[in-house]
Amino acid sequence: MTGILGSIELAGIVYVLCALISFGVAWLIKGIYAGIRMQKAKEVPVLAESTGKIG
Amino acid sequence: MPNFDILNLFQGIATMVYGDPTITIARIVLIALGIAFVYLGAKGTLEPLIMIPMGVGMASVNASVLYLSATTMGTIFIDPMISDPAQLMDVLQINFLQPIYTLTFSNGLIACLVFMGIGVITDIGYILIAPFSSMFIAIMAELGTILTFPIAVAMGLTYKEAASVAIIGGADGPMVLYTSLILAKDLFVPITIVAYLYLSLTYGGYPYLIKLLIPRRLRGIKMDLHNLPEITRGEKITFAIITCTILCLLFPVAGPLFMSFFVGVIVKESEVTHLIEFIEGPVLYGSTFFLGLMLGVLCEANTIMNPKVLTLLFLGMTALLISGVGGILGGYIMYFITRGKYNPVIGIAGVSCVPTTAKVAQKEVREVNKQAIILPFAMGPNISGVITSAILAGIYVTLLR
Repeated sequence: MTGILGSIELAGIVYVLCALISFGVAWLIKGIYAGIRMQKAKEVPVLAESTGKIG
Repeated sequence: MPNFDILNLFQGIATMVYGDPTITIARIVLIALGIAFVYLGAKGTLEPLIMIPMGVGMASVNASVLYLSATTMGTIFIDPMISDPAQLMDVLQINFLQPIYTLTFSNGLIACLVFMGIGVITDIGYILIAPFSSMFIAIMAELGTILTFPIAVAMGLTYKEAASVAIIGGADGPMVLYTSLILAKDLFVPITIVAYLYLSLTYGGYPYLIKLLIPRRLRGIKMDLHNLPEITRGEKITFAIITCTILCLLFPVAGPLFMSFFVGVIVKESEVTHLIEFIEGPVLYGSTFFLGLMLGVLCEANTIMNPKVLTLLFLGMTALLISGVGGILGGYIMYFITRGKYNPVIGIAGVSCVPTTAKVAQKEVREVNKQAIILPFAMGPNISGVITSAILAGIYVTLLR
């Protein structure tokens, strides 16, 4: 890739790559967030159950 | 009484009188500019943390030119062009700022220390609230980084130089410093100076861009603060360590920057008080101070008189302008997607000058509607901007190195 046309092409590739990786990071964030929330939701009934037994 | 030339006594003046007239004029202009930076920094018009030490350094170094030998002129501040190890050892013992320059500036350490400090003052919970819209705006606000690249090539810069100056569009000082150090070592002094100069000007320039592109009615839109989820420390730490590892895997060349930023974030979220105080105090302010001073001292007329400086000044401004417009465009797209519930001013915060642009956005909104609080929403794109800038720097460096 050389010259101005090459630089436009390269800029396009860089932007698409950046967008894909950035949305990948956003997807990762969503995934981590959902995973942790799901784990917490699972933990709540166990706690309630054991508290009930002691009571 | 021995016969002596009074000018030999005052060598700063003698080097002006007997030196190259172009350099003399440049020295006088740079001294005046340094004094102006100190004044504007102290007044608050420009960013004082950088501009005050930079202005003092700039004025002092251009006044302090002396005869190092019968034929050569120079200063005893710094020699940025030295590369021979034996000469470097000599210079390290003469130039008083050379150890800081060689051991922290020219290897990018100072950029990493500033990034560590930014990590410690950043709450990444804001990205976790709305990751996709934050990333979208941040990507839009990188338009300057993308479009400036072919413009710079058209203006005669090489691909490596063009990428280094285009990174100014990401509005991240440490990133510019880091990229230009790797890709365009010969131009990194002027590129970094241009970048920091403009970054301090964004504080004054972006409000006008917002007023120009967003009508008053839209600037006052209130954002819904009631449904904001609470993000726990565990969630933030999990996100930080996983993202850091993945980004380092993808772009090892930008690994030091990713590590520095996320270690700051994790230290903050781990609530290790002593480390937080150390990084956000001595590390952040210490490195910012020396960064400013070093940039000022590097503005010595002989070093900065590069024929490409005017081109860099134009390209730096273009990059930040296009990025600002891109961010606002992203804000408008979000406004239309949410059917008028999103304040388009948030778009400017995608230009990742943490936290300046987010504060500028909040200030502009507050001027129109006293009850509108957008800062939590603006911080998301603001921090995402740091990540997208680092990704872009990583891609450019990996492809062009």
